[in-house]
Amino acid sequence: MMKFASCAAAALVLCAGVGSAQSELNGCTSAIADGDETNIYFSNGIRTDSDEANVTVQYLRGIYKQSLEGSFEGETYSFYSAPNPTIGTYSDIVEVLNQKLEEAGIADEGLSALQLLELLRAGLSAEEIRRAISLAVGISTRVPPVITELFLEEAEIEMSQAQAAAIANIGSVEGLHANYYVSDLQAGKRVFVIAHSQGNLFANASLSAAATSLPTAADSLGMIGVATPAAQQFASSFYRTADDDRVIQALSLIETVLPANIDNVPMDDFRSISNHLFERDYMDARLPSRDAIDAELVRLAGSVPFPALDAGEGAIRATLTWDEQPDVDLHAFEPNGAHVFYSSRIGPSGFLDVDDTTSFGPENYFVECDTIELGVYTIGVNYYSGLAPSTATVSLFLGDGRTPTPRTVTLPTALGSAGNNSPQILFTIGVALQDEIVRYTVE
Amino acid sequence: MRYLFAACMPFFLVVACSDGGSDDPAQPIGNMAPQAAFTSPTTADERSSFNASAGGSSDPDGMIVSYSWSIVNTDQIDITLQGEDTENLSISVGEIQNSADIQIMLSVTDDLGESASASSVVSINEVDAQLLPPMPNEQDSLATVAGIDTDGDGVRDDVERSILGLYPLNTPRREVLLIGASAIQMQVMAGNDGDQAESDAASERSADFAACALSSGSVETVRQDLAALKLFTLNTDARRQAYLDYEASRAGTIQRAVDPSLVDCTFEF
Repeated sequence: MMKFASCAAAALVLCAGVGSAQSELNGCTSAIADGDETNIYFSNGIRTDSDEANVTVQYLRGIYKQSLEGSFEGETYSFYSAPNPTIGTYSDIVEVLNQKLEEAGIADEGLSALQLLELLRAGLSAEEIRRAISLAVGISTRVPPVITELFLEEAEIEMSQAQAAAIANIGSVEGLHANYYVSDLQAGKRVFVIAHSQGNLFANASLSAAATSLPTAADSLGMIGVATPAAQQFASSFYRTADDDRVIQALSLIETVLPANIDNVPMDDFRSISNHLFERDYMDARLPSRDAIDAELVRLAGSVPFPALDAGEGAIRATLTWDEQPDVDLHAFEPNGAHVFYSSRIGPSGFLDVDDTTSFGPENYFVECDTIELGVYTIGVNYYSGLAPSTATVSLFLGDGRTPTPRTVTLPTALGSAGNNSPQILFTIGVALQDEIVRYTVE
Repeated sequence: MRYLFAACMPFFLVVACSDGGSDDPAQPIGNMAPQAAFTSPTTADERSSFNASAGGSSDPDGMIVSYSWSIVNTDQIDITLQGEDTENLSISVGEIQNSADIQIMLSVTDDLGESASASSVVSINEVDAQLLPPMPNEQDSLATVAGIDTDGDGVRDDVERSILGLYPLNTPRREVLLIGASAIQMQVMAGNDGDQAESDAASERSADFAACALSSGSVETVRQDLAALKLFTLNTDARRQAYLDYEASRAGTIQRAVDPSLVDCTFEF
């Protein structure tokens, strides 16, 4: 970790080092590792919402964290979901289920296609679904008799086809998480992305954008693709697609996709009808795909280099990125009254350790855990130089592990140094003692 | 045994009630029956433990040498006994779906083999349903996006009732589902309000649910629980739309997987 100041800096500073008890004194409950760090992201597929992505990434943490940290001494592995906007694209699938409900004469009986989709992708049996429906308010008693195993099987097959069509219709995707990956790289962390289904398209875009943004650290990015619908993976990285994956099979009829490369049929086929689900059809410990994925993750962990440490982090970290306009500046106001920005980069509490004047950013401000102060920190931006409106985004990382949604602002005109004293505020962070524990609030 | 002793006249006791051929002249010529008596509560709640004590049992001309406890458990509720052959019986009641009665039976035997018995009924109360707010009427329940949460615990009353119906005999699982239900309710309200800070908080709560749920269940059961929660929670068009709006707000964000040991997986209800 970078160290810029001693703990005796100011009376208000919450002088505390590392350790769980001390972490309560500075809010850094999400320990900043002393050794090398790797962030592993899960990029979810088309039929997975953010709640399910959270379950999956927790599941991956359970499988891999301890074993990786045991195998690679001194290293820390953290796990994040990186949700994609799948809801919009799976409206076609929902429509398929709507039609099924209409055909069965229960379209207006209280069970929506969206609810049915949730039940189907959870792998519930017809009996289990009927029981759950009987407990829900507002669903007609006419519904349960219609939900049979045959009904579910037909729905699954039609959904697989609709899912393939929906993926084919996605077109280009944005690298929505590139800013996070770049932020990690600058903090000296490797980034591995495990992507499933449509999540491969988003992961490819995000990793490519991150590599372009920070080419010197591009080789610290890694990817594992599962059931990929892509024609090409980021940096020709590893992937596994089962040769009987119904969704990718259907997609291959209408789009160019990478070929299937694993025979995943187990002795006793317990997989879903689609053979496309992440946990059940690829990650089950009885499947060859799981062995291959495990081996690749270990290979990545053992071979991918760690990037250079360019940006600090701690109790508070704010990172600014923007577009091709030459210069947008990051400003921070600390509880002690200090104004930290490009011409006054070291404050009593925090530091502007990365500055950029040549487009895109990033700029980075951070407060170490042992120099956090009680009070209010504000983070803002000033459009310094450029000829057209500029769009700037600030990502915030807190020592308690939270990563509030990045905030984006369009700045109409460059203000030069005249704007230094009145930057547009994007985050207001309160640091307060509650029950003798320091907690952060974000406005 | 009581019948045999009652039939024996004292005069003949040495021979007629002997233990099979002994001619010991010191053998007592009569034995009075012991008296079986015990104390126990008359009611108990599910998930509680209580004792039955046979300390009130006695033998007028000797001593009690053995105790034997049993229960009549017609409804086959979850009951665990400890100390069935001691003076004090410990009874642990597990989860029950409906209130039920059990009958506690005690048999005592004195030093000459004479026995006596006693019994008592204990009513076991189902308490979970009583702790919950009543099921709101359907019209009121569906009228607003927020719904009705009488006890203010962050989970709609109808959803709490549905969760109890799903897991009537598994309080720890129900607690985990209530965490999940509170997360989805927060998501619905965040989507309805269009508030990003609420959305972030709801996502954190969802991560807590994932950590708690996977600590005590497989990924398959957690997915099924999640689907059931969405079935219960997203039961109007307005709630579904609010949830979809929340989902849209998560695109491009990240959410950490939390350390389960740092999450409070209990739910006050």
